[in-house]
Amino acid sequence: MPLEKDEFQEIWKTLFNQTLDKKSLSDIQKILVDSLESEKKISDIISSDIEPMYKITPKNILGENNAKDN
Amino acid sequence: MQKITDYNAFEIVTSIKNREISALEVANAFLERCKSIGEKLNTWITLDEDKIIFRANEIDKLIKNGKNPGDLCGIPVGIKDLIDMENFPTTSGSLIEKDNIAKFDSTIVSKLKNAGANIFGKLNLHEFAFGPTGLNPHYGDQKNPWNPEHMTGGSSGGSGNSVVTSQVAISIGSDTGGSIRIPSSLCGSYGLKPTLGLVSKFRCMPLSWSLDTFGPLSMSIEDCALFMSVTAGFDQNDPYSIHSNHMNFISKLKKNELNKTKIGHARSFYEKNTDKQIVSRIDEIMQQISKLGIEIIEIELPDLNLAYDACTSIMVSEAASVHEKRMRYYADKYDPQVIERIKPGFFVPATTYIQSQRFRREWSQKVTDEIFTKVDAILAPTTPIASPLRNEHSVFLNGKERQTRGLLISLTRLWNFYGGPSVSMPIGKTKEGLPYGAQLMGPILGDDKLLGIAYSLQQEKICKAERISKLQ
Repeated sequence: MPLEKDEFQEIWKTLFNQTLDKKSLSDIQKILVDSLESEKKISDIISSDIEPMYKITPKNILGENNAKDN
Repeated sequence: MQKITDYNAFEIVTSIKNREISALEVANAFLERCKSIGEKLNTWITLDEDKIIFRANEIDKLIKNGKNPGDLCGIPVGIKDLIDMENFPTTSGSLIEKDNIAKFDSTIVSKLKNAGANIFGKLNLHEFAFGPTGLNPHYGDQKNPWNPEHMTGGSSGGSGNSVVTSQVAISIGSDTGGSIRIPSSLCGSYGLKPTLGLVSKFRCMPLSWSLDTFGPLSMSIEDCALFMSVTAGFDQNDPYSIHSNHMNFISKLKKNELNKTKIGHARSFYEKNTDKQIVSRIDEIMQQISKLGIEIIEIELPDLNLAYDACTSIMVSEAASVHEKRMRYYADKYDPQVIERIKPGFFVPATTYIQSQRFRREWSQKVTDEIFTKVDAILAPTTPIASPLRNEHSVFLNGKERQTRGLLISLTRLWNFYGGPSVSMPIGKTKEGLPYGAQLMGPILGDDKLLGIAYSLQQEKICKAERISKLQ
């Protein structure tokens, strides 16, 4: 579940010693709801053994033969 | 007679090496345009005339002594001001970094210098490269050379307006969600976002490590290939770096055979949210290239909405991590619109970020296996609109009001998520005379082949970059 607005404020105050204005709060909440909805769908469809892609790893993406120079 | 400033980079190198013109003549001709046009368009953050002349004399001396200064001999180059160059400030378009003098060259600059380039200075950009408009309250909005009331697009706005107005022959930009291709489209140049890791990012200011790429903007595909032939390659200092031993950027420009080429048309990817004039021009191009023997294959890109959301989670999380310390101490010095875009990154859960990167691997694999076994490249518009006015925060598109910023990156950021190359090519102008581009998107590590296809389209005049000699 997305955090409540006062929890956002507490996090922001701890990190930056400031409060968030109304617009920032609603923007953050929207992005967070979207990303959590997607996370739900993603975790349902990805293979259990797949590792994160932080960088291109040609052997994994292109296969042994095409990646032999890499 | 052709003016020196109308030469492309290849022609400059050949003319200097054949002693038809000197590097000093080249430097002076381009420098004159930097001084007369650059200020009006807010192109530069740092331009050092003395160093430019010194470098030109250095190159001429090498030529005189029978030495080869390199493949980029005397070419005027501009670099986006988030790439380190020794003894120059790297401002990243921010006041916070205005006194950040680089102690060393980045790998890109070092490779350019070793190849004989004359690096003119540091180009203006959207603050910290975090925005697609080129608007910058600190160093001035980068202005569109076709109409200065309009945006260049960004974040590499100075890189875009500098090449179209012949202030430099090649400019270097960075691309995290479209920052090379968007200004290419809106200013009317070519621009290549290479495969992630192909060009080193060492000593370049990051926006989002796993999405950032660096590449060229220029007035011909040959010049993009020339840049890649010098800068692509493994760099042990860059953890994202990959090898490119099998690529040959220059020879692929001649060997491409269009009648064996297959282009994917992902209509559903762009049609609904793109200006009708641009959609019609893409349809026209599909017909034109079909007559040249290219096979057009209709395709669907998988799970688009999930890919977009995962891309956003990755970008804002990594950007928040990059900026956390600066935001704690210098929040008041940021462009407020940039800081608003960074804020959500502090609230994305770690699991969302990691699941997004896991999904990214599976998605990239799927696109490579399912799409690029059927086609060589995908063609789509680069931007769904031509350049908006600089104060136009929203635009009406197909009867619906849309936020300008979101619209501008809507067709480019997917390829940063995928990781493969994408080249933007100028394909037309609106009735107001503002250019727009199409992008060819290729498979991971297919950069040289992609440039080969783009070169053939350029030779067939499907796309054409037009220089501006005088501002309106």
